[in-house]
Amino acid sequence: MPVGSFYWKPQRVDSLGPTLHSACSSYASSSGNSDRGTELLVESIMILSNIISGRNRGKSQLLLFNLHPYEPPSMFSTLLCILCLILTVRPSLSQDDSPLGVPQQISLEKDSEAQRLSVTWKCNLVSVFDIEIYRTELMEIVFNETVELSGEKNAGDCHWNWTSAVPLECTSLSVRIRSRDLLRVSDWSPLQTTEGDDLPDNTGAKVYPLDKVVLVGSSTTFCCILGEGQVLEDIRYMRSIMREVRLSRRTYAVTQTLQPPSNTSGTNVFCRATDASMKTTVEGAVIFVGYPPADEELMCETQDLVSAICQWKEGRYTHLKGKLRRTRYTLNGRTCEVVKNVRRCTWEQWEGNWTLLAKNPLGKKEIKDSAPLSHRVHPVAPKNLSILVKNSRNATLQWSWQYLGYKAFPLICQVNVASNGVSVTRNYSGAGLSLVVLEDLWPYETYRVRVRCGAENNFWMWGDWSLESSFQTKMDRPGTPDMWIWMESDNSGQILWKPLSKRESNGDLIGYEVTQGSVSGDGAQRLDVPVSQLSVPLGLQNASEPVVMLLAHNSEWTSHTSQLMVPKYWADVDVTGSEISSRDGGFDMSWPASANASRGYVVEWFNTSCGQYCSVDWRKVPGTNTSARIESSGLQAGIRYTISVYTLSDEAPELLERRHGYLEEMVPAEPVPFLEASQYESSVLLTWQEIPLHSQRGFVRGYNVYLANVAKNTLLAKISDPSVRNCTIRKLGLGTYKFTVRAYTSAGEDGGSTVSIMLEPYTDLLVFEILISLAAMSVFFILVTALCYRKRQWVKKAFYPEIPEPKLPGQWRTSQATVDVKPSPHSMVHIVENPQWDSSKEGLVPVSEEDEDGDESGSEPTDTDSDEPGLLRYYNQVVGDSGQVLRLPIDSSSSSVGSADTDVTYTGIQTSPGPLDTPPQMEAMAAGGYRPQGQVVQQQQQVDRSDADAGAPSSASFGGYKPQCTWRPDSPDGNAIDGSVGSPTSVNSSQFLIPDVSSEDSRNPASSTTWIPSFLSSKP
Amino acid sequence: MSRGKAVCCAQLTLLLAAVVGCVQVPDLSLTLTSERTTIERTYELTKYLEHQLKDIKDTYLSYLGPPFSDPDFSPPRPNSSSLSVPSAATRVELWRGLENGARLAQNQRAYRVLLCAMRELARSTLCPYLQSSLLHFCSGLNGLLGSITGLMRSLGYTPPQLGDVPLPLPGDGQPLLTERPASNEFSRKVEGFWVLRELQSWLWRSAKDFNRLKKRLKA
Repeated sequence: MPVGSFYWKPQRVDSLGPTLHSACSSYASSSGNSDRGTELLVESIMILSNIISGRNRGKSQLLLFNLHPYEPPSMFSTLLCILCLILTVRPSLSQDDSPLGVPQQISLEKDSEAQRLSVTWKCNLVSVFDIEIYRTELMEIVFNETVELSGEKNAGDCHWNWTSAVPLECTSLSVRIRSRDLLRVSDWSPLQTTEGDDLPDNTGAKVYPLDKVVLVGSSTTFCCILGEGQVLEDIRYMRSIMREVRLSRRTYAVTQTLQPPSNTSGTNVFCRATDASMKTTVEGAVIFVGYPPADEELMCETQDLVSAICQWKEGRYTHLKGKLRRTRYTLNGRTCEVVKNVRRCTWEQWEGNWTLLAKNPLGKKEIKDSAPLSHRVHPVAPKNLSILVKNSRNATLQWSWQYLGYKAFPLICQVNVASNGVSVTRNYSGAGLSLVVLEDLWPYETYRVRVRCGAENNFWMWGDWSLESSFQTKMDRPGTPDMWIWMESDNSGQILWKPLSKRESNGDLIGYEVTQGSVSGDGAQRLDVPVSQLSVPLGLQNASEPVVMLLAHNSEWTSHTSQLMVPKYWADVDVTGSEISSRDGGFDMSWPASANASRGYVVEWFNTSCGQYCSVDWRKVPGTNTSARIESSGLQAGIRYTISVYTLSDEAPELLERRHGYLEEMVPAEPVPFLEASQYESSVLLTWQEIPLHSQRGFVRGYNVYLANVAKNTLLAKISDPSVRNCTIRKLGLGTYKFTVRAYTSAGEDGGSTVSIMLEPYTDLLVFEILISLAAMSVFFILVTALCYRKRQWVKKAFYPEIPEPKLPGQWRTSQATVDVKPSPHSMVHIVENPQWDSSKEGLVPVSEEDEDGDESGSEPTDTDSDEPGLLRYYNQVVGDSGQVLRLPIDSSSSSVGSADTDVTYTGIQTSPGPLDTPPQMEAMAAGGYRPQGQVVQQQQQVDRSDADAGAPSSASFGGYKPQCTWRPDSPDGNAIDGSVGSPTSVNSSQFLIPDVSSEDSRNPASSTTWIPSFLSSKP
Repeated sequence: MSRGKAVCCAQLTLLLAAVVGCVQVPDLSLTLTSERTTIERTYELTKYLEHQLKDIKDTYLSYLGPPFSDPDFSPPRPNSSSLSVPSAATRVELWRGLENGARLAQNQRAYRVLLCAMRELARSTLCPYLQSSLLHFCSGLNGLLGSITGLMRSLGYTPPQLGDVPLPLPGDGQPLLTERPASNEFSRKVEGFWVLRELQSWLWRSAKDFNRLKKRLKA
């Protein structure tokens, strides 16, 4: 909506503007409707006429026109607007045209702490001024506004204050003013300057504001005035580097917003600058950021019933400390000094109304309190506590008051009585209360007492506790001991009694007195027992109606007598004790009422398997009760207890009921003992014994029998009757079995006892099986024998063929057996198997024995022919032409040679200079398997012949069996052993295969004894 | 912390007792040996206070906040103070040439001024713990001042009153601080910083002074 406005006095727009604005705009907006438009026109004219008539004269200097931009005004609206315009401009037209006066005598006054600049000048009727403020050095404008002064004129002086965001010391400021009257303005006044600290005369560096105190979260602008010749490095707010703005040649400003609370010594703001010599200087200021006081909860009270003590809490911490910044307090206009943070102020006389004013540089807070004195009594602590009268069960306590005003003041007091960690507080009341009687105390007990009091009427609060005082009450008669007689057998038992507690003994207990006698009083035996002993053996033997009496003594008193007749002994076997189950860590024992229980009942319990030193406990129950709960820290799980109920009367106690129970059943502590297994044919009988009572730890409900395998146990039998302690397992096969028997209670099974048994076959079956086997073997051998007999010819052919006897002339059959001749150690024969001598090789040179020995003596035995192994070596081997070595079994004779010394090498037969000249006959021979040495004769003969007829092939065949008969006549010749030395030996016999000596001699010039040693060292 | 403080108290008490015991020996019976012993004790007390001052100085500068707690901060020595502290710095040849009496007098005067400054520092400190530490240190400083005064008497010198000692020449440790009080908090912080620094310098110099004194007495 376009708004046309005539500016005259902006401050007044709000006063009249809305009225005219509404009139004009209402009409303009409703111009489309003629009826409504007419009404509005009339209304607008009335408003205007009111204005003209002077109701708002002098104030109606603003008119606003609302013109619709798209709808041309009607005649009426045009007329109205013209009218308004005339009215509007009329006052201005009526103004004086004389020039406005320039403000004179401008003076500036600055309040540095408030950063406020006060401007004063001479002014006349004009109350509107344009004011401009510049930073003098740079002539930057910092303020430029039109201000109206209303009611601030004083005898023609105008006064105007301006608060600067920047401290006024930072730089010089210049002010100029001109008067304004509507649209007319005067000339500007000359600039009036207030000097900053950055004038050249002030050469030092400065930071402003100094020691300012501001609110947390506020913004503060700091300025740093550098020294002459210095260059700014940075400006920091504690550790933060700030972004600076230059205000003048030497002044820079920074603004810190949202300032956090300062630490105790304040927040440092400092700038660092360097001078021409590059020396850095630091100048700074401290600002204190905190909160105004927030003290609260003022509360005044009296202790002496005259004066007042007022206290309050600090509330939020102000973060402002120090003499100039801390919070100062005044109570009802009087200064209160707070020492060491104790906010407390005293007042000599009680005044009903209290006002505390807390003030610091950031603000103040007022808190009030109001109450009459009697409503604010906080009594002091009673003094001088003392015990006036002291008995065994009561005492009189007295104290005094510090102030006289307490003598008649109604008080309520608490007396705290404590002993042995038990504290009891009792209340007493009265006017000026200072004495009380403490009742229901325990004899011979040390008490500590303390007292505090409050106002009985209009109670305000308890006073302080007095100092403690302690005292001890006197002794009293000990309580009657609780006695019981436990019978172990018909003639023996124990007199038992429970120790008297400190409360029951009522003094220092010094011992007991036990008297045993009979009802008739005959044969009484008195026995003094020390305090530490709580039982004596029953010493009455064969007394009629035996009775026991017990007394307890402390150092001043003797107790009443505890008397009991000796009860009859009841063994377990005489009484059928049923089971009793526990509940919540105890036994709920109940029994039928008995007419004999004139003095009540005794419930007795003990560990059933305790043996000789049994810890017996009991509890006396009034005759009106027929049940009792047995609870004791001594009861343990897994222990069987025998619980008996006796009636008490003037006669001897009588057993009323007996039961057994476990506080908590557990699995048996040990497995069933003596588990044994016995075989009965194919069955096994397992037997075992009962677990001892102390190890049962529960009622044994039965046994489980398991067949124990590696993987698992298989339940074979479940015996639910605990009295059955055997089990038969039937129809078991042969083998080893392991059986486990486990007893179980309601808590579960025990670990189990295992027995192993190997089921063996019965004797009859064994004999029967042996007989059957023997019979079967006999039949088998008979059948085989018969079959062999019938087929004996075939058997003979197959396994024992007949060897044809060689047909030889002469006395072959009669020839002696081969003589096992042990060759002499040097009887090595070197025979060249291959008759053809390799001419390429040098002939074997005999080595003298000495040389050989010499070689043998060496660590590396010399083998002169080591490069010709295939050709020259023989060691129980047959060497073929191809050099192939066939290993043959060594017979007894050859083994008798026994070592490398038995090496046999055929070297002595040299027939042909080269292998190419080997006759086919020889090759065939070489290719044969078994070569009887007799062939050598032939071969030798052929060789002999080949000497004469070289190269003639031989048609002889060497494939068959060649008996050695050719040398038979030579072998047995024992004298020829020397001659046999060097003779080849059969691999299968020890017979020497010696050729004809004469022929050999002709070809072997060297004797056998000379060359044999040369091969002793040869290796196979 | 309290245990450490207790130990410090015990040490300080022992040192002070030893020093006072030494200086209270009757004049006539004083021998050269006992004087040397007195100097040694004074020297030990000086070193002890120097050690104590390190901790207190760190705490105090932390309390002042940055830039005072910055390790390399070194503001120019202020020209306005309620104290007049002669600088410990001097030229070597001048220091060597100092007579025993003058040497002790300079020390005595410096510690008198510094003791007042430290007390003022403690009084104006707003942190209770730091305040108690400073006051504790002041008691040690007072003991040192007493031992120096006693030593002067035992050597036959008259302990000067404040202002009696001629001020060193300019550039030789002139008193830069006048008696005009600091105008604002930041200047007071700078003053406190310089009081601690001068105290540290003086404790360091005093140790050397006592060493030299002891050697001279031995010679």
